Formats: sequence, C-alpha cells, structure tokens
Amino acid sequence: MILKDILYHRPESIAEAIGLSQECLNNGQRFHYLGGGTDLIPNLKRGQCDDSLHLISLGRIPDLKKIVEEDGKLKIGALRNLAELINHPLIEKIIPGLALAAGKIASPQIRSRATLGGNLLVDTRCVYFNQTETIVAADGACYKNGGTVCHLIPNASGKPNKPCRARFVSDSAAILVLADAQLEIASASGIRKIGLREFYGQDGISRNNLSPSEIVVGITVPLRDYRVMTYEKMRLRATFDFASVGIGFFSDGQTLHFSVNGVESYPLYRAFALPKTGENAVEGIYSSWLQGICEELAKNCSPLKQDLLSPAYRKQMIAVLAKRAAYKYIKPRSLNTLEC
Amino acid sequence: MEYNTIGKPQPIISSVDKVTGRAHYTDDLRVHNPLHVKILRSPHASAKIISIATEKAMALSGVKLILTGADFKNTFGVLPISKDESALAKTVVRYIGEPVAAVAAESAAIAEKALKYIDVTYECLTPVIDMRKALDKTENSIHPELKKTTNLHKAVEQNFGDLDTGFKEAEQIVDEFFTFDAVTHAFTEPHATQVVLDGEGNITVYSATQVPYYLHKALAEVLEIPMHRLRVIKPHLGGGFGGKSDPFPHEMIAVKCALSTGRNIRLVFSREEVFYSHHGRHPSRINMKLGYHPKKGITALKGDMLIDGGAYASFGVVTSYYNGVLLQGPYELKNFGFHCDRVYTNKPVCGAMRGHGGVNPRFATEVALDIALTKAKIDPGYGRLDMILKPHSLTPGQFRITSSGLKQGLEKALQSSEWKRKYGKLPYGKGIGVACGFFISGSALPIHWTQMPQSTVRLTIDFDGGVTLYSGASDIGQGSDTMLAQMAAEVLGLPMKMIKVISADTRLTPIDYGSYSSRVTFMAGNAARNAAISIRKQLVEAACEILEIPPPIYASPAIPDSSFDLGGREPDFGNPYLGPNPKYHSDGFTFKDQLITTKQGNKSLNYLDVVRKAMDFQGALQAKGVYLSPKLGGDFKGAGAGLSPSYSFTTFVSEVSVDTETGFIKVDKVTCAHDCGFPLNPLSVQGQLEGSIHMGLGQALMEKMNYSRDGVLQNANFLDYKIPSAFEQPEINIVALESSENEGPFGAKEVGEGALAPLSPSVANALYDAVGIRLTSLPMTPDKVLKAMQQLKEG
Repeated sequence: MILKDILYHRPESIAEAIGLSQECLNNGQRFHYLGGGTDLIPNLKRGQCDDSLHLISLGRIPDLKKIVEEDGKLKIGALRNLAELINHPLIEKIIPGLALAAGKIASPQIRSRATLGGNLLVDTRCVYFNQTETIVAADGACYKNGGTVCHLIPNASGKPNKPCRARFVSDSAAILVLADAQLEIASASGIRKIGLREFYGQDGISRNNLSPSEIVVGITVPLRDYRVMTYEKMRLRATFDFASVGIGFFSDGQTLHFSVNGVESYPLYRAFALPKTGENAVEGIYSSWLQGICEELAKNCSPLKQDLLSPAYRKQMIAVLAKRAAYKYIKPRSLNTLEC
Repeated sequence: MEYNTIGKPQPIISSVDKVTGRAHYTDDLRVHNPLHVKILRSPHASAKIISIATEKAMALSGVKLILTGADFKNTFGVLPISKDESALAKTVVRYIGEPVAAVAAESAAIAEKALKYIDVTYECLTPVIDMRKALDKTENSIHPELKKTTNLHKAVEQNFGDLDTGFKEAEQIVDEFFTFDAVTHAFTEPHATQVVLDGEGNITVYSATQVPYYLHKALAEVLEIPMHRLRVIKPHLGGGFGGKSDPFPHEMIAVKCALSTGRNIRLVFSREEVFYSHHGRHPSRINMKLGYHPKKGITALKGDMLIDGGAYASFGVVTSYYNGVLLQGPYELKNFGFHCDRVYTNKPVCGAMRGHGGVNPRFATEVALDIALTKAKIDPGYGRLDMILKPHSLTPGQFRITSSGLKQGLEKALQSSEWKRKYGKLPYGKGIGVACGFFISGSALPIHWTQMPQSTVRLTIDFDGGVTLYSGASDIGQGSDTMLAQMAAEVLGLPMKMIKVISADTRLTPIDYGSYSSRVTFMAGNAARNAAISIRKQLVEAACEILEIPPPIYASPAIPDSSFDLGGREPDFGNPYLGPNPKYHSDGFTFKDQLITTKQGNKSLNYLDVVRKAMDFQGALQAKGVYLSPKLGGDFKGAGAGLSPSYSFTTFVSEVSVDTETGFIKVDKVTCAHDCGFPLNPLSVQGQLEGSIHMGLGQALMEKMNYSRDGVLQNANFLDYKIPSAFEQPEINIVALESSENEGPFGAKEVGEGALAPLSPSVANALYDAVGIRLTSLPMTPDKVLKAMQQLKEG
C-alpha cells in the first residue's frame, strides 16, 4: 500500500504540537503524533490507520528527550529511542531491568528509531487485526478493524460492547509497571500524572486512557533498589519478534512483583507478599510457595490462539518463565536456562 | 592437477555491485514512462465469479486498462502435461489471493485505488482446505475440466523388488506417520516484471525469473506472439530457491497490458503477493515403513505420501515422483516402493522448492532409519556406513550412481564431530544426531521433449583479448555467472576480470533451460568449458603457426569408468564435441597468466599476440560449447523422474541443546560433509552449505504457512512467517570433502539443493538423543517438544 497525501508538521514545543492537534480536532481533520514511527508507519501503509491525514512529528521537541535524576525520581523523556535507553548510564545505575527489556525489543535497526513513548503506546496486536486488506476482506473485518465480529473469542460476534482481546506487547511497559512508574501527560489544560498500572485498560481497542490530543511527555520512576529485577521474553525466534509470553519480575525484599506481557490486552500485574521467614527473606522462601504463586499467575491469564505457539503451551509457560525469573535471584543459577 | 582459477575461492563477480546498491534488480530498472499495474486478488478460497463490473474503476482519471479472465484465451503451466492456470481467474477463484483483475494506470497509487472500484460478485463455494478431504468424492471438484470425482491431481506409484519378502527379512520394522506444514522460499527480492516496447513490435520483458527460456516460450504461447518478437531478460536476481521457476500469471498480465495499451509496463509485487504466488514446498502426510536387518541393511522401504498441491498443477507431477524416487538413495535398496497422491486444495499453489520433493520424505526416512538402528542397538552414525550405495552402481529405479563421496563424508563428519565420545553419552537435554541424503545434479530430461542440448554456451574474443561468454543460464544469486567465468578463465589461463559473462537474455544468449534441479554447474558449466576448449584450439593453432611447429594431434576423449552395470547398455555420453572430461592438456601448451607456453622447449607467447594471429583473415574468434546428458534410465512408467548424470551426497551431524522446561531446541553445531565432486569455488560451496543449513533450520524449527480453517494465510509477512535469524544459525563445521565426478566440469557436481534435506532429520535425531522423544512433524516448535516430553514422562 502506498501512503496517501500526508501533511507533515514539525512543532518545536509541546504547546505548539498540542495547538496543531487541537486545530485538527476543531476542523474535523484526523491526525497522529509521530515518534519513531516504527509501528505507526507500517500500520498506515497497511491501511490500518486513517489516511486523511496530519502527521505531527514530536522529534524536534527538546522537552521530550530528557533523562534526568531529580526530586528522588528518574525521569525519562518519551522521545528517547530504545537504543539510547539500553546504554544510558542513569538507567544502567537506577533501573537496569528497563535496559534489559528494551534490548529485547524488535531488532537493533528498529531500536535505534523506536521511542520509549511509542513502545508504551504500541498498538495491541491480533492475528486478525494486523493483516492486509485482502486478508481482512477474506476473514471479515473484526471489531478492532471497524467490523462487527471477533474471530478469536467464541460467541463474541455482534456484541454491542465489541469485546477485543488483541494482545498487549510492550516489553518496556512490562518492566515499568513493576516499578510503579508514572506517566506524565500533556494536554491543552496542562500536565497530568497517572500511574502506569492505572493507565492501561482491559479492552484491546480503547487500550488506555490517553485522549487524542494528549502527548506522553515522559515517565517517572521512583528511586528504589531495582537490582532484583528481570524480564523473560519468550518468542519462537530469538530476535525481531513480539513476546509470545513476557514475564517481568521485581523483588523489593518484601514483595514479589510480576507482570505478564503478550497475553492479555494490558500488562497484567500481580504482587505477592513474601512469607515472613525471618531475616533472610529472599533466600528463605520455600520453592513450593513460589511454585504456587507462579501457577496462580498463569491462572490469571487466558491466552488465545494468536500465535504460532499453542494457547495451552503459552499458559504453561507463564508459570515456567515466572519461576525462572524469580529463581535467577532466589537460588543459585543451576537451572538449565536458554536465553529466550 | 594445478589449476589457475578453479578450486580457489572466487568472490561472486557481482558482489561489490550488490553490496553497494549498484546492481540493478528488476524493480530498480527505470523504463520510460510506464503504466503501473496492480492486481485485484480473490478474498475467497473458493467461489464462482458471477460478474465483474469495471466501469467505475475505468472512469478514474489515469486508469488506462483493466484486464479480467475473459482477456486471456490460453492457459499455461510449467509442465506441458498440466497447463491448468489462467493469468486471471475466469469463472471461478480457487484460492485467497488468486489474481482476478488487473489495472494499468498512470501511477501505482491510481492503479491501487482503482482496485477498490472494481465490483466482483462472487458466489461462495465450500472450499477444500484439508488435504485429506480432497480425496473425498465430490461433484464440485476444484478442476472440473479434469472430469474427476475427487480432487486428486496425480497419483504415482512405483515398486521394485519384493516388498513382502523384504519386510519378512527385517529384524526391525518401523512404521511411522509424519506430517509437514507448508513452507515457502522467502527469497529477498519480490517478483517484478517490466515490459518495454519499441516501434517495430518488439517486446522486451525484464522479469525476476529463474527460467527465462520457459517464460519466453509460455508468453509466446499464451499471448500468441511469435517467439522472435519477444526478448526475455533476467536482471540481477535476489534469490529464487524454486519460487521463480514457473511462468507466472503476473508475467502474462504485464505483457498483455503492454500489448493492449502500447505502453511500457511496470509491475512489482508486495511481500504479501509473494506469499500468494508461493509455489513452495508441498505440505505432506507421509507414512514410511522401513524394514531393517543388522546384516542386510534396509531390507524394504515403502512410502505412502499425500501431498497438498494447492490450487494448480505447477511442477506437481514432478514433485509427486520426486517424493518417491528420491528415496532410492543414498542407501542400498532392493525392495522399494512408493505411492504418492497429489491433491488440489483451495490454497496458494505449491511447486518446486530447494530440494524439490525430496525433503519431507527424506526426513521421514532418516528418522525411521534412526528408530530402526536404535531399536536394534546399533550406532546410528557408524551403522549407516554399512548401508551406503557404492560408487558406480545402479539403484532399483535405475539411477546411475557414478561418483559418491558419501562413505568418506559420513566417516569424516562422525570423526570431526566426535560422535563416538558424544552419542548416547551427553547429559540430559544435550544430544547429537545424524542424517544423510543425496540429490540430482541436474535433471537429465528437459521439461519439453527435445533432443537439443540442455545447455549451449557461446564465447567470443575480439581484438582486445577480452572474452565474452554468452549463456542462457540464470544467475539467481547462487553465482553461476562466476562459475561460467571460471570455466573460461581456467581453460584460457586468463584472470577472471578478462571474462565478461552475458547471461539470461533470450535475444543474445543461446538457449539454456534455466536454474532449477541443480543443473547449472553441471550442464552450463560443461558447455562453457567445452566452448572454452574449442576456442583454445583456435589459439593453439595460431600459436603453432607463430612458432612454426605442427599443430597437435588431440587424443580421443577419454571414456569414463564404465565398468559398472548400465543394465546391459553401452554408455552414451552424447557429447558431440569433446567427450565427458576432455584432456585438453594434451595439446602441448600451458595457458597461464596470459602466456601461452609450449610444454616442450618452454617457448612462451603473449596471449594477445596469439589472439591477433588467430584473428588474421577471420576476425573475432567465436566458439560454441554444448552439454547434452547421456541416455539414462529404464523404460517403465515414470522412469525419467530423478534421472541425472550424477548425484550429490550429504551428511549432517547436528548437536542440540533442549531447554527441558520450555521445549526450545537450540542447534549448537552442525557438522556437514557434502560431496559436490570437485569444489570449483570453495567460497560458493561454503555459502551454499551455510544457506542450506539456515533454510533447513527454518523448516525444522519455526517456518510454517499458517492457514486458517477457511484457507486464509494468516502470516503472509516476514514478521509472522518466521525465518530464523542470525541467533538461530548454529556453529558450522564444514568437513573438507572431494570426490571427482568424471562427467562433471572439472569433476564438479551440485551443491545448491542436496544439502538441505538431511538437516531437519539430523536435528530430530539429535532431539531423541537429548531427551528421548521422536517428533514426527515439522516444524519442531517448543510446544510440540514439551508435549512429547510430557507424554514420554507419563508413559
């Protein structure tokens, strides 16, 4: 598909960008903010986004590119590309798990364009949504493609609430929900803050509570000890792929935090308080307790047939990967592990 | 023998242009003011076309022409016996993605927009997606013109020896069932065709094709144009693997658009369209029954195959035979039989893909053999050594095996991989496995019956001394132009840079059937070498004149070792010029470094002086060389399938680590011994082997065309169709191996295809060694591995 006529804007401040989007809204014209474009542009080419179209590039706005430690927080601008995150000394120092997860996103070429903001807002994916016109026509358009059916959930077609279970696939979000990071969002009425855990909704179509002209300025990570934090990403091919199952893990010494990526329409987050076993809590927990919570985590998820790997297998892997993530820290690394 | 250029690593001659972007692929050509063509494709797997309304689309500004099925009278297909395809669907559509209409417009955007304004009314029919259902009786077969009551396209069967007795003799009988998903070539360059007209009615077609000559013929037939008005040129090509070896609908459409509008035409596929065009490996269901006796080897082998051809025939009849006949090596067999049903289904067409027809049955056989050997408590590595076909022997179906380095190759691969130390002894989760295979080195029979040589090469040398080599062979990235240049450079003692290869242009280059069946090195290579020898004779004559010595008397061609059984027939090497491996060195001269030197007396002449002497009174030097394969094979039904003047042989030893919690297989190391005769260009050989391993690994671990129950291809893109990345590519240990093939050019055989098939079974056999499970279905994804491990645990 060839991209249609596009009006390209390059504002130099957040206010200017919001002004442009407001103008589009007032004139009934459609627009998209453009970050790295690695998700948006292919979708535009596939005709999945409206082709009216104003593209408002955010690339020239300095306020969106900060990485600073201030007020007891790490602030990362939304327009920072993923390759920069991987190598940034502040991120390495404060939350190395984010660098780890960022390094597992897509491929080196894409990481040097794709931004953190773009990854946090990456559209949910479905085998029936991310398709070309011919295939959408063959299947019949699903809810997310503006149709009236869901091919994935039994008995979901023709429902007024348009249920959608397209998969959430942001690897960086899977880490940042563990850290209880906050989004800073700019709009015409100023800046608002919202916790990442509250930001995402459960519906694969509406996805989150960002309104059209709002801009994600950046993310704020509270300064804590994030050394016991990791991300397990499973995919059939070891690179250049979305997670079939992704597990984020973080322990603050009192609580084990887990997130599940690539399965539900949002980053599923669960926290489990460590059983009180005295001084050396992390070392002292029992493996059966851990097994139990990993299985509970899997029980909270219901993978659908959206991947070459079977749903039953992916459900099983949630527990396996969660345990593997936790055992990286809780026990000597004796397991036969392969990088996934 | 000391050679000038062969046997030494030669970079592919276009490699610098390719990596710097200077090489022009079909899409890169800028033809003057073309119309852009886009194709409307069927959204239904099976439907009647009730009507096509094109008026609204025609009314768009810039739209010049809309074609539908009614504009094409003649059907086509690569095999003369199954021309069942129309460039655009006529009354029915048979798969999702089938071309239904084509728009030619002033820009690609207009053409694409116009597709949306074409109204096609369909009446949907129930599609046949599952290949098993294709054998059911039906009144609405996919190809009613065949007047069949099922969707069977072709059933082939051969039986040799006595299977019953063979199975009675066996100590172990393995009877296993295997399934294989569809895989596709996934070459880098999407299909593209551009057409240029001149004022005199000449039509030049630039197309990304492996088979310019077959395309030329098909275009002439389908569009009823005299062949001499057509010229087909293959520019640089970004990979074929069999996926560009048919004449295609889009090529007919492009030329038809040019003829109808009088304009130049540009047609370029999207990646999605490449997936619909497909023509890849047939999904298969194979039952393999193998009888084994520790003293007698394989006492009987019987394969039953059901292969899913998709909507049209393509190479299907050949594929069906190859599924069976390529089982009669590389092991000695007496009692052997197969039955293969190829069926039509409402899915994209399957055809030839690297290792054509032999890959899936090879997996089944090598796994079945491994089961038999392990049951008999015989080492599956060294146990295979005793069963190997001997050089200079005949197979049950009368394949003439000439040279074979398999025994040496298997031994070396086992040693080099430290098999004895590892097999059965590695810790749980680690394993080592072996598999062997063989492949044709060029199909001895042309697709269209003719007695013409399979390859002709022309050489000219003009006053500048530069050699121009004209060959119809298609360099599809495999490096055949480089190989041809090596032939001339070697015989004439010139540096590679003095040879310019003009290839795959049907106006300029003599006929060659194209790049398929691993035929180019053997056939075009022989022709090029013969042409070079012929021109060398002219130079030798001139040199003798200068030196005032009598011209040499050439020894008669050496007859190769024919002491083996040819079924009572005389060997007939059918080469009108020089015999199978002419000893041109008997001419008494050495050609080296642009010097032509007498062997006796050591008198040297400058190459250019000799060229000019040779040109006196006759002008530019010209020579022709041909290759025609010997008469081969028996005279039973299907005897021609798989006949080749020689065969390549391969061993793979794979070492794997299995993640026992997730079921992921990591192939750590592959040791490979491939007998390609004498390796003309070790660098190319290495590249082909690495590529075969990578491609084999894809089918083994992750590649799969994911069709829904309704026949929708759900992963028609490179994100969801998973080709392995550099992370998956194992350490590769290529064991140096040389055999000499008497009839090959300088002793060479094929290396492009044969080395693919044994990769996946070697991984499957290693998986058994690692965790004790036998997977009988490809790809071996981790969910299958884990399930099988759990079943094993539960008993």
